Formats: sequence, structure tokens, C-alpha cells
Amino acid sequence: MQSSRGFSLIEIVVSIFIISVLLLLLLAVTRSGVLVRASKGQGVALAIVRNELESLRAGGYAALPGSGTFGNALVDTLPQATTTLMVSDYNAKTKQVTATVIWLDAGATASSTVSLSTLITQTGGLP
Amino acid sequence: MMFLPQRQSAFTLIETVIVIALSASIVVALTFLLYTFNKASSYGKISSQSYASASTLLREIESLALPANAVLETHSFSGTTYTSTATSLVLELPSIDGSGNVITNAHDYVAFYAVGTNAYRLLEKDATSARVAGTVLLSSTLSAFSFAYDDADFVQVRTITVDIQTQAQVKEEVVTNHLSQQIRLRNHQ
Repeated sequence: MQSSRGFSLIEIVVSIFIISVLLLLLLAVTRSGVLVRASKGQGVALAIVRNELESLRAGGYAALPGSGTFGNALVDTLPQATTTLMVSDYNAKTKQVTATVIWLDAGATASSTVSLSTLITQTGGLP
Repeated sequence: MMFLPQRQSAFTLIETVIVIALSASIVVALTFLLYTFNKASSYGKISSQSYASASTLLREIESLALPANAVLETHSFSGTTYTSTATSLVLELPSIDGSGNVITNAHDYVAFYAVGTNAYRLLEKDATSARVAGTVLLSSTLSAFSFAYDDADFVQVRTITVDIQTQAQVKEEVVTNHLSQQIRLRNHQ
């Protein structure tokens, strides 16, 4: 009897399984790198907006700037980062201040945003 | 009786060459995968540790500077004098009891300073205070650590700007983290 040549079904299935496990492993590794970078970016962005709100609180109601952007030395450490400051009237003696940082991580499809908001009143600010 | 000739079964040269080439490429692919995996995971681990140490240091300074009532130029911590400079900070803060209430006329003293790549916090407490006294290592990957004050006279200082940079080596790459924060003393008189 002539023995049939070629791969059997079971051999093909096993090899496909091994190759796909290796590819999944590689994918998991690259994904974890993206996650680490994203969480680090979030921490830096949070430090930027916290610092901005702290300095605006310290400056007091009278010194509040209008809406626009704000500067910070850490902004350059985030890829393609932009900052936005929104100052709006909350009521006659209170203003709402919102500081936002938007950046785009390398390899990410959508940009990330960190935003903090506070109310600053005409009387009773920081000492 | 007639013998059928026994069929000789063996690999041909071309089969052996193909098998060797395939196994070699699989070994190379696996080594590459293992190397990439190892590098990516250690990079991730060291990078997040370095960031966490910068963050811990900043949060600790913030949690003690916010309730502080003054930046002291110098203070003697059981015999050793610490000075507020561009690289160290000495704070005086009201003592608190177990439920967080301020104890009048009692003060705790705290110093932040760096030795090499290590950042330390030293706390001296009043006998009635609920804070925990002692020296704590907050970061061991420090590369730059600085304080800026809004007034040259420490009695007048109300705002401290803390700047922290940490650095860690991952194989041939260097991971740096930079954090900076302005802190306003809430209990300044």
C-alpha cells in the first residue's frame, strides 16, 4: 500500500494553534507598553491641570484671566499636547474655571483628555 | 518463496535541509519574541516604578505643605540642623490629634531632603501629636529635586514650587519622569 504523503489535519491544527499563541503573546506585550505610556501621560496631565488650578486659586478672583490657553513646562513632555483654560461666570460673585490638557500618545488612535474644574469666589479665597 | 524488496525509508537531502532551515528560523523567531517580551515588560515595570516614586514624593510633600503654617529657615531635629534651601525644605505645621483636629500651640516639624538619588522625609512630632515621627525613604531614583519660594524671606513664603525629576536605567535606555507642582500654604498667618 502506498503511504499517503503530506500533512495530516491534526498537524496543521497544532501548528496553527502554536503560531496563534505566539502572535497573541506579542500583541499582549505591545498593548501593555501602550497602557504604561498612557497611564504615565495621564499622571503628567493631572499634575499640569492641578498646578494651574492651584496657581489660579492662589492668585484670587480679581486676577483671574480670560478663557484661552495656559503654559506649563511639563506640557512639552506630552506628545502633541494642547492646553485650554475656560473661565465662565457661575453667578454674580463666582467664576467657574476649567483647565484641560489634550494629548495624543504615539500609537493611540484617539487623543486623551484630563480636565479639572473649580469655583473661585470673590471673597474668602486662599490666605 | 519470493522476497519483496524492503522499501528503504529515510530523509532525502532536500528534506533534511528544509527541516534544518525551518527549525533555525523558528528558534530565531522565538528568541526575538522572548527578547522583546523581556525588554517590554522590564521597561514597563521600571518606567512605572520610576513614575510612582516621583508621584509618591510629590504627594507626600503636598500633603504636609498644604496644612503647614510656615517654611522655616532652619530647625534642629534632635541635634541635627536642617535648612530650607533650593534642595531642601523645612516646614512647621500644626499638630493634629487622632481625629484630625488641630491641637493649639503644638507644632510638628518636617524636613524634605535628598542624599544622592534618595529623597527622605524627616518628621519630628509634638508629644501630643498623632503624626508618626521618623525618617522615611520616599524615592530612590531621584535625578533632580528643587524647591522655589515666592519670597526670599522665609517668614513671608506662602507658595512653594516643587520640581522633581526621577531617572531609571532599563538596559541601554534611560527613562525620565518630570513632575512639578505649585503648593500654597493653607495655614499661613
